[in-house]
Amino acid sequence: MTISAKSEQLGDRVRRLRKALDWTQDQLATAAKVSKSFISEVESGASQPRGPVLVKIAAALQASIDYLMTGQEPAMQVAKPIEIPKELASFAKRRGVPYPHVEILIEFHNSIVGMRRDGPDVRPSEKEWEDLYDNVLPHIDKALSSDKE
Amino acid sequence: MPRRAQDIRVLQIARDFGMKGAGNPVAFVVDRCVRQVTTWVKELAPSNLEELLQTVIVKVGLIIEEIYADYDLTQVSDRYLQDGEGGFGRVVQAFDDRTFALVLRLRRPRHGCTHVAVIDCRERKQARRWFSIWHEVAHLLAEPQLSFNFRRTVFPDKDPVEQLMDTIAGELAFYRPLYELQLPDGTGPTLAHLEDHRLRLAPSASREAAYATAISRMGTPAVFIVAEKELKANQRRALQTGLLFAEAAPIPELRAVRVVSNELGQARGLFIPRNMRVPQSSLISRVFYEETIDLTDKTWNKGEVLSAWSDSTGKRLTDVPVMVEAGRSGSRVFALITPA
Repeated sequence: MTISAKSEQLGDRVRRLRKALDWTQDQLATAAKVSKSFISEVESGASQPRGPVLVKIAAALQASIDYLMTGQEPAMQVAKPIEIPKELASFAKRRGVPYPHVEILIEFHNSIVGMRRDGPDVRPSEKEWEDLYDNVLPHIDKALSSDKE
Repeated sequence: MPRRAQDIRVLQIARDFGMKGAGNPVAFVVDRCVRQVTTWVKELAPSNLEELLQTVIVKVGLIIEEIYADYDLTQVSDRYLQDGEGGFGRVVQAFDDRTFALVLRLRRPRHGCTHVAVIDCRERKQARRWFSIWHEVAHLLAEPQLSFNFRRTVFPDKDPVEQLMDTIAGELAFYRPLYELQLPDGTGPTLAHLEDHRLRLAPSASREAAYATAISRMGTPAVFIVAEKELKANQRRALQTGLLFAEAAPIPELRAVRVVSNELGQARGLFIPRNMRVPQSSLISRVFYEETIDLTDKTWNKGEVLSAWSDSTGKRLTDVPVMVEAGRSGSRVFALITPA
């Protein structure tokens, strides 16, 4: 029996995310540094984790606290690219890259939104755009089709 | 006002937080981030800085991927690429020698997480792990609406937005209410106190950052010094700009490469300019050249006067009697200077 998102409780979400990781209750307990019996109580709804324990469980499951509590995913706002860097334009023209691929390549490139480095960020060269394209090419169509869903 | 405070994107982040009119946008943003974290501290009650970091990570919705080997990097990239997260096609390439961490926006949220931080913990970069994670967390705290969907610009030196994130990270990585050093009554600070404090509250933080922060906030006068072999600033610049060839390169000397003097210390005349040469007569010099034991096993103490320190023109520091405690940390010497 599946549980609809609406009726899913915190314990159900903990169980679902644990199983998605292919973990036993023991493994989650170890990762979250709590007892196995406590995980069992949480999943059955007998206990509601709070404070630092809730944080540990969320961290172990790689979930946000808000998601564990509500089951709601945040809305994503992705700005569409408006400018094609000349290095990318040059490579795309040479290789005959279709426009939707160029557009999503910019989105992929811009998805790195922060970088901690010594020294300046470096503007990608034509070669680097080409390397990125070759890296992601097997996955581009899947990404484009999922956008249409 | 520093350049980063005038940067249009830094200003925009401050405006997003509600800053109106003139003011220092850096201070404004840092204050807002600290306030946000304080509300989470009240709600979720972390008891130390490790728990605080975990709390902030699960509140902002960030996935942390730590890289300890080349294999980890490939595996992480492939895993996200398979899920249509094409930004990971850049990740392996982006981690050159100078890159410590990246934060990527996901195309689709996963269990409430909208971003992934990839932290390079390979070899020498591991020492900066703690701060690197905080730096990437700072991005999500400071830019919750992701107005930083900018096209990255090449700056002649470090990006002002990244510098802002360093400032936020520096404040939060040693969040004041959880990192106050309490000294036993009537005692001054020692390197042992500082190490014990770090191990209890922020064991993942580097010694240098943890000690420097504790000293800067302490209610007793003290100076913290990191000494290692270094060139004079103008010699370094000349080498970097190619004005000096390697064959004619000057020889590095033992210098105070980091100096943190707290307010009370400065009021007592305890001040040493950064990069000043360490006098040969100082205990710091003796420990550097003669001792190999780590400071957790042994440190040394000696009474000195600050006027033993002089610059290249012969100008001496003030004639203040001080106690110096010095110990070795890897290839460097850490020292504490307090009034005698």
